[in-house]
Amino acid sequence: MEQDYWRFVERFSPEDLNELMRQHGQEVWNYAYFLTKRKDWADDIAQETFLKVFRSPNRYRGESSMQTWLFAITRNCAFNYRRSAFLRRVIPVGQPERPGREPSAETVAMGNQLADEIWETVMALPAKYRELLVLDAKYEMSLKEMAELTGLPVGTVKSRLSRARRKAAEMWEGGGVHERA
Amino acid sequence: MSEHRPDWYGRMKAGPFRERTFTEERMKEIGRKARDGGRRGRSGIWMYAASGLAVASVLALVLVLQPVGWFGTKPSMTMPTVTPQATPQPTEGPKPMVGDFYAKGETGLYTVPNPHTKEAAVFTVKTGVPLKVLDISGGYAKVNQDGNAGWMNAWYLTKEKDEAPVDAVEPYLMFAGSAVTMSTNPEEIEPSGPEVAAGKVVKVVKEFQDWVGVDIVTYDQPYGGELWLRKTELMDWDPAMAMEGVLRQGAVIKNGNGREIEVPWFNSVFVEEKMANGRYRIRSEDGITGFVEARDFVPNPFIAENERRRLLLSVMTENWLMTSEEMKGYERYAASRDENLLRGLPPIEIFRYYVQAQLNRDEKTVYALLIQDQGHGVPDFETYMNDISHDPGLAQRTWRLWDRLMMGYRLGEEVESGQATITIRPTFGGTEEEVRGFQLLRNKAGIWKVAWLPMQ
Repeated sequence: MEQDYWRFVERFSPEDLNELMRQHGQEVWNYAYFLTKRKDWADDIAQETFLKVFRSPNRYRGESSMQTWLFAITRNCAFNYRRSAFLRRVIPVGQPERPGREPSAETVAMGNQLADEIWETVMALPAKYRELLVLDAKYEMSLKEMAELTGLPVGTVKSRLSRARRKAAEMWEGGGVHERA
Repeated sequence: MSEHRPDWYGRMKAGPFRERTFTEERMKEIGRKARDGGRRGRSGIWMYAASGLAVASVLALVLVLQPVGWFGTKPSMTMPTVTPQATPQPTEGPKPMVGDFYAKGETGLYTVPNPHTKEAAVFTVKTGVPLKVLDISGGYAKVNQDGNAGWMNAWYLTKEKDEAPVDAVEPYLMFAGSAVTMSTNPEEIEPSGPEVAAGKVVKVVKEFQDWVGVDIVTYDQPYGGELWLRKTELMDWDPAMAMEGVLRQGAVIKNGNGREIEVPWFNSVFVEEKMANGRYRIRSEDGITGFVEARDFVPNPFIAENERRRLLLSVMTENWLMTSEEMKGYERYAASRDENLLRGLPPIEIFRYYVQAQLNRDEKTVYALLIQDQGHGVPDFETYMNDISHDPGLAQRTWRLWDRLMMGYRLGEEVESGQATITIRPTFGGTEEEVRGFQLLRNKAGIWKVAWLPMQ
């Protein structure tokens, strides 16, 4: 099992890092995108997640899936990134500008790049609903895993997820709630 | 969940985007940065700085590791104009820039002189190792030590190899009794750093004569580099007077209309007002105001970082902080000290009660949590209180001990049939010698109680 392999690695080698990125890079990026709604931020956060993993001794012990473990780091990075976002305005003259910074033009073009129209609805949800809905629908995490990852009590996860589904259903099906009980 | 998964769930399996967004190109770039950046060791000042300064802006690390830049290749970015300035320095400054210099203490190297952002230091200069001064701008010097180049606070420069009067200390807490403006290095004539409000909690990480170098948690004032104050401008941390901290997990926060609002428990909050009804009006990092029960406010903003690390560490760790519910249980116990209220609680919870009682200076509750059965060497209450009253510095030392452990150590619980140990080990690294054990014993009624002299 994947878990059994990674937990015995003391420090990730460059080859290990490549393997991790091949297996989990896209989902780490996706998760960062779900949290921030910005492709450029997801780029930075995904990069920082993997650099963080590479630079420290391996702390993964197989208690969750490698993906969940990486998601926890991604989540942490995303929050820090958001917090320091406003600071980019005060970067002193002379700093190299980060490449690939398209601000809101990307959201306009988003429509024709989506894998399914449902994502427009999902991305329009408030952040706290969006995150849980994605963890449930796309990653099929248990309530317990979601609680552990987000730091919320299981009860809150359950009720919030319920509300998220209802809200998404309303928006997707245009008014009526047609879920089968 | 008992609800059937909706049909449209299947549509979310793929995506969100049709095309790959985490491309081969991106992976190669990350791989390159990983190799070029090398591994950063977690030692000394770097760790203290990183842990205190809002987890050292992630963005800054990314900015620094651009392939064009400091490390060996020709810088392609425009540097700020280079004018050696005569900065008023009470101690001797680096007048001739030739020859070897040294650092008076460990301090960070930044990519810019006088960083105003919360940019992380990219390297830490060591004492006793020569460095070359390449440039001066404002109070900062561009230096090169062992091939690591960057800007450092020029106050640290000295020609004397053995002059290293700045000490890194095991972090401890203080707080600002009244609003105070901080300096970017000791001996600044005019403090040039940010001002902090009364009640702001600081973590002391360095000392120089009568000055302390501190970390603060902040979300509204960009700053970079170091923060220094005269020790006399601060007061020893007092949980009753510190106004900055975090909320307990499960805390209910209400806005002015009585509606519940969301503030992540690990974000720093500031107490704006302690109300008469036992609630606190708090302000969160993003400026949201709300009301919480007094019990749900933990007056230490630095503990969140350590608690959050649980998510990244093995499950064999326990939280230091009680949740809101658990805190209610503690208050019930402290009010009556009825041992039956402890029945069924695991050793780790008794340990948390004990720490809370210590932080509250509630000696009666501390004593009540000790094992009372015969033969365990516990003195009677009179003797216990007597011994304590003869040690005036005890409360302060006790707070310092627990603060230090709560900010930098993680907990584990090991239980045998009649005996339990709470292991306390450094969150990062540390040796076996640094692991402490806190002992608990099951009393005759089967309830976990604290052993006499529990931590040796």
